[in-house]
Amino acid sequence: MSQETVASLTPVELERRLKRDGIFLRLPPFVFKIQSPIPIVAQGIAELYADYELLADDTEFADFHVSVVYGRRLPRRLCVFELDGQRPFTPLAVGEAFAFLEWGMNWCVTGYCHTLLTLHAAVLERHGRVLIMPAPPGSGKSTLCAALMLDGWRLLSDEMALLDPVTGLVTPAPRPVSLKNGSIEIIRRRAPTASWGPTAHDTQKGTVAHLRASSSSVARATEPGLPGWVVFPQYLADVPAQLLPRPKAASLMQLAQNSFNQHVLGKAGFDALADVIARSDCYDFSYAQLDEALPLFAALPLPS
Amino acid sequence: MPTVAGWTCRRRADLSLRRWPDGWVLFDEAQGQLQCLTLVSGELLALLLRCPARGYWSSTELAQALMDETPSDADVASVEAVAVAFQSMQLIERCQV
Repeated sequence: MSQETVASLTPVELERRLKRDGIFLRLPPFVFKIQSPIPIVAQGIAELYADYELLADDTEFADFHVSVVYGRRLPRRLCVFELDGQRPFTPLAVGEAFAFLEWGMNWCVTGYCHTLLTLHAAVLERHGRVLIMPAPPGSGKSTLCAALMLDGWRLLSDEMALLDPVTGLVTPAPRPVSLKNGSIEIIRRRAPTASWGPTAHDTQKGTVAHLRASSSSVARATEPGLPGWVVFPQYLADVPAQLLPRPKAASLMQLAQNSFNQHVLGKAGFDALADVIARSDCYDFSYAQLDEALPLFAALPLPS
Repeated sequence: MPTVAGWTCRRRADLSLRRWPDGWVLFDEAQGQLQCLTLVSGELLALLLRCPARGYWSSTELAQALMDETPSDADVASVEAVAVAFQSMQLIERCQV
């Protein structure tokens, strides 16, 4: 029997199930139970998670039980994110409900998943080796990540590297790529037929829209990868794209700064990070134009 | 008998070191802190983590092990200065023998 996916449901049925008891959605390596009566959440899930497996309604275990709901005793134009009934964030406008779900699910993983070392980074794979791009917001990380995915790299994650401290492999968690402001139009022009989720306007980050992960990335979501490159990207207006080798001790320090939970994992976390650096070629990367950036990544030599 | 000052590290279980061509990185698990060390400082701390059987290193012994030759007074003083810095970071202790 073939597995049921989000695409198996009609939009009406998906919206009905989300509104009533919620759905069990496998977002490798996790299972989320998601509930929401807000139509824009159903629209986003239908558009961006069509290829993902839906588990049966009587599934007994989900890693996270989340919902985005209209807030009680709040104006109906506001919504709240809930994890196990708790509300860790202030309410947002209903127009941001799908983005709120995405941000909330990221927060669940980085806040509670400590069997894996989590890093704030975009992660992609090519020729069996994983590219880790740690960077703070505003560095052009997601724009570059989206462009690389559209150029054939396998997406492991736009937001977080999940490193297994036992195997040293990166666990994929392919989900939609979050793009902001001018980056949305840049990527739309490069991929006019790509699928997008709802656009959230006037968020704290400006305008936000999510680009669907490539089907091949989702199909290979259970295949971990060996780290090969650690690249620290930085968008700088009017500079030629430049990839410069970065010293390893400095790279390890910078990588650790982008970790959410290395301190929780202690020595095992340190060893895992140090092993990533040992296995990887490390670079600083600055760019202004994606057309200049992509050939440099295509020509990255495989690490020895 | 004169008292000889030596250096010892009683926190070996807390400390992890990795060496790279551009320097060392130290992780102090008890403090949850990472530190970048120069090549020489890292070599010195690595020696201190390999404590000799009698339980301590003198500054002269550290300098000799580091340089693999008889050290000058200036070399010993330099090692002493780094050891004092490690002491201030609560990584090692001065011991009286």
